[in-house]
Amino acid sequence: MWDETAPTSEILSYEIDQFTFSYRIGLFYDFCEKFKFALLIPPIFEYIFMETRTAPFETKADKAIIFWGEKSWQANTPELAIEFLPDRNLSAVTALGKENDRTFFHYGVKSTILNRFILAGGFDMKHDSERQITLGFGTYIGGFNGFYCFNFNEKLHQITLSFSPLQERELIKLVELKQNYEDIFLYKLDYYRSNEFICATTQNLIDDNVSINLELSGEAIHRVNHSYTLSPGAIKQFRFNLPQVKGDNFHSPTYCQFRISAFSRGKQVLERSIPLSIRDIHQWNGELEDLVYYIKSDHHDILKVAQKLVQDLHLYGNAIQFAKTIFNDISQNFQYVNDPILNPIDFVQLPHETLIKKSGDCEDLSVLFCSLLGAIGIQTALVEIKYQGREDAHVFVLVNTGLNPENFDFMNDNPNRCIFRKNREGKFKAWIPVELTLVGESFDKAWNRAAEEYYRCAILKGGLAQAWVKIVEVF
Amino acid sequence: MRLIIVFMICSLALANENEFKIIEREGEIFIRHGIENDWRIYQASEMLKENDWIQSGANSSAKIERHDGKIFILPENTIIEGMELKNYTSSELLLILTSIEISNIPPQKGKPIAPSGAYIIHGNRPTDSATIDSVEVNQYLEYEMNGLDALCEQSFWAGVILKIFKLKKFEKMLDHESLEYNLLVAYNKMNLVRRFNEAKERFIKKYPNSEYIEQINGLR
Repeated sequence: MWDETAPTSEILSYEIDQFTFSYRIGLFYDFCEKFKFALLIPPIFEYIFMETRTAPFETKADKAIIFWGEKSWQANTPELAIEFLPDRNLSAVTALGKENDRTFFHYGVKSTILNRFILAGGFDMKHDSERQITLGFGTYIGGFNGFYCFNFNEKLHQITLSFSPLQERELIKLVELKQNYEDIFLYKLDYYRSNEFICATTQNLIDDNVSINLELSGEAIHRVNHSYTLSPGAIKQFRFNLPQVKGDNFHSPTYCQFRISAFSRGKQVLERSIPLSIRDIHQWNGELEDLVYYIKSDHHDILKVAQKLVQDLHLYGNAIQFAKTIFNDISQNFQYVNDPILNPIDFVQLPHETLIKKSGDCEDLSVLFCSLLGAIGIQTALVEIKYQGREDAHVFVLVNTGLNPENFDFMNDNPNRCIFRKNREGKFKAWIPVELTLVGESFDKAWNRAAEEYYRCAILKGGLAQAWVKIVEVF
Repeated sequence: MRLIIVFMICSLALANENEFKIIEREGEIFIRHGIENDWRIYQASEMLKENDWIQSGANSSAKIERHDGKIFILPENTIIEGMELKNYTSSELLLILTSIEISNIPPQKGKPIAPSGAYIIHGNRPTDSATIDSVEVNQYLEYEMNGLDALCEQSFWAGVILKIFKLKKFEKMLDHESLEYNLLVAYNKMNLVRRFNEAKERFIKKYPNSEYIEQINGLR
């Protein structure tokens, strides 16, 4: 129940007329932002202190003060205090204990001024004696708290020194530091530019202006720096978008750092940093939705090749003919080559690079196929099958033929070779699946293989409903 | 000893719940495996799987035995797919239905599905070819509808649902009222309560004067 990090405070009380002193140990528990509990434990070495007076006692938050009246340590029992903090500079405390078999209540209020000085007052109430009024003031010096108070009834001066070794006053609060991405994948740079990747919210807890500095730096990016001033009590949120990146081809991940720091009167009061890695443009995070970023139908090389491939087809050529022509070109001229085994994450080539290399794995060839079909206005989608019990996944392509179900001769064409998907008007159109890894094979074989796989995994085994088969549209 | 081994192999083969066997036939029965296009004449003792197709011609019929011993009689001029004869639990069936529905979902990102852009490149659009091959489509639909009737009559309710899902793409060419009524009955028999209630609500809204309403209200 007790906060393990709660500080232990030693209190030395000094009485001017008797020169007696005492120490006590407190345990504190932050129940919530507005309430705190304190338990005061009597000293262990009782024989040292015959009769003394306790002194104002500071809680973890430096806001509660518990006044104790005259008491005998031998009669001490643990005392319980509850502190209420309606405001960060104001608190009210009530304490309950027993002293020489008499129930003892204390009520007090305390105010913190400029986060450095304390003003406090309170009265004690015992069931068979008058109320005793006490007033005091003090100050914070580092982890120490010095306090003087005067008991009006007994004309008693008290000087208290308390120390909380684990207690560190918070001057600025980092309300939120949200990092949306751990890695920056350069293939989706445009996405990062329009969606913030770091969000920092700060709150000034002191009665003085605090300047906040946010910086993003690293060898691969152009350094960005933002500064602003927070007035006392103010909260501000700052969103960071990705700045300009120097190049897109890093052979190994390069790192940059986001750093937030705060200064008050020239002294640093907060510093926090987050390292971020920037991934090469060919490194893909493995999410099918992201593979779409590699499809570049508007790249001039892709446009040129696609239009050249279909230029000889007759006027009424349909999407199946175009898909077949493009597939045949890939099948005859390209090689299937796996990713390098050393690569820790998937490696995907840009389609114009695959055109030059004439090789690639299922993602590379699917990306190229979609890019080429997109370049001549044919809609495609990507299908991913994550085989159960296996770590790897497989990708193939769906091509929108634009044909209605009525166009098919179902007596002679197996409808399971097509996937009938609705368009936005709710009309069914036939899409055909194509397996791009079957380079060197015929289009029909690539179509059949993908259709068989789709029907078996996506429908018969319910893969789409269980989400181990996914379809992602290419736009 | 040899006989015992043969018996064991046959038992294992029949135990596969994805397999079916034609135990009796009259006339010619055609099959096509998986995603093959071509129909071929069924050879005796050939095992059929859930993704195989079975077709009977005029004056032909067949008795198909499921792994659990249940018999389906394939009447003449009928097409049946293996998966329509399978024995499903409600949750297995729901998984397949949901997968079919997900598969049907139109592209979501706001761009319309353009008819294949090739037409745009050539500055021309194809004529509406809905009537092309309509004879073949009609014949196919007739065979499928015969299959649906047989499934209903012989209480293969999961098959009824799957068949209707398959036929839904021929929106203009089918009597939707009777299809949807059959679907309701099948949902009811398969104990797919939520789907039944939703389909019932849709049906009453769409066909308030239907002769089936009384029968539908009597279903639950």
